[in-house]
Amino acid sequence: MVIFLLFMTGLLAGSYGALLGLGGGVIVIPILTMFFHMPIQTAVGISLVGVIATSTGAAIVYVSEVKADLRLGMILELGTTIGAILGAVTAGYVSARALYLLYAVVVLYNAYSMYRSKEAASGQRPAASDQSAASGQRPAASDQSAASGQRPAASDQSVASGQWPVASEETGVKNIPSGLALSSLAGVMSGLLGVGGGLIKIPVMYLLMGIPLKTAVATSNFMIGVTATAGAFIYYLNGRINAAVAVPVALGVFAGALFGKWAGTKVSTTVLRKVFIFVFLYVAIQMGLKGLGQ
Amino acid sequence: MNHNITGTNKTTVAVLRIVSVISIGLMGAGLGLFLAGGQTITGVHFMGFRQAFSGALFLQPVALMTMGMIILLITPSIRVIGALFSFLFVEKDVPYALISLGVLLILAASLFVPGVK
Repeated sequence: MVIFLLFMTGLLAGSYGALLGLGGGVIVIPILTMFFHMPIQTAVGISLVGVIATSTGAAIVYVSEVKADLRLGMILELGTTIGAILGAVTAGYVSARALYLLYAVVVLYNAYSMYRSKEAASGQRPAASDQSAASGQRPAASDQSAASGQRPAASDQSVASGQWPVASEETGVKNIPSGLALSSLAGVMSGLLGVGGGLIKIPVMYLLMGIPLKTAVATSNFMIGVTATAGAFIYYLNGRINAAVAVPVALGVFAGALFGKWAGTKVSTTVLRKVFIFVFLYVAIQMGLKGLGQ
Repeated sequence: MNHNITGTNKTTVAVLRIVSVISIGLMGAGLGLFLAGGQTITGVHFMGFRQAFSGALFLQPVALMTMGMIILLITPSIRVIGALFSFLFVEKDVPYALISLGVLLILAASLFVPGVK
């Protein structure tokens, strides 16, 4: 029964990721800590395995479609992987209560981002994709179709021809040092809190570095698995990841990604966003209370 | 300056798919045997790489699951290795090959970093 519930947790996280365009860390950690009563550091390690599962599936699609700017991804990975290591090491010295409070802030920000993208989705189409990028969300199925209505940027054209755009040359990447610094912060979040970090990376690439949205999304997808790996190794080697718990979650994530892809054509992502905004508000309050020792 | 890397990219994707299938297969087989054996997760403890590798040879459920999970954890590194080879041998772009190597070294370093106990 426990294994079935863990699998369902992964299934929910994977479906959520595929439907709404975010990693499943914000789903897995609250469930493992609130319902399975696991220590948050253990839940973070297991969540990182789920993030890698999500990223692996997505990367096969995105890399095969040659949308990701691997040059830019590699530059930023220098920051995110170091950040992830720092985050994972720091997690060993930060109290569980502080982690709960930090997590509550991240989940609140997530809910706010979803609210903003929902607001934007009800407005003009181009704004919708801008807003979803600004909020750090991968465009979901409906957003992607909206985004495809935009005139392709230079890098999109080179991508369409099966060629990799070059960071800082053809794509005109701006603010690389600032982008690298902020991406390191995404890495710290990943190692510390077991999330993908797309909430930070996509807006940084899109708004600060001037990368087209679709390329930023694909590059972030490529990156989150690599970043999560840096943190996950540390959690695993310190005995924080028990395969009997992590495997049902990871398999659930894979199944959820497939289910989410199928369900994306049948379920309104707008309704789902509304539901998840309330779910996240509830989760943030619960995690916040745990952090405050209530 | 354009970089046509379709061939290398296809190879990386193919390797990723194969590795993912192996990982899912091992995890699925391990979980199936685990459930068939009527075991519960309460008594299961952390398993290191050596123990998992030797146990997987004897089809021990937890060992199979652990090996599948380890392979899953390694999968993103394969992407970095693919990019490194692509930059180095296909595109002859040494600076980006060095950046990829740097990322790979950081990932390798994470294996030796003491962390969360």
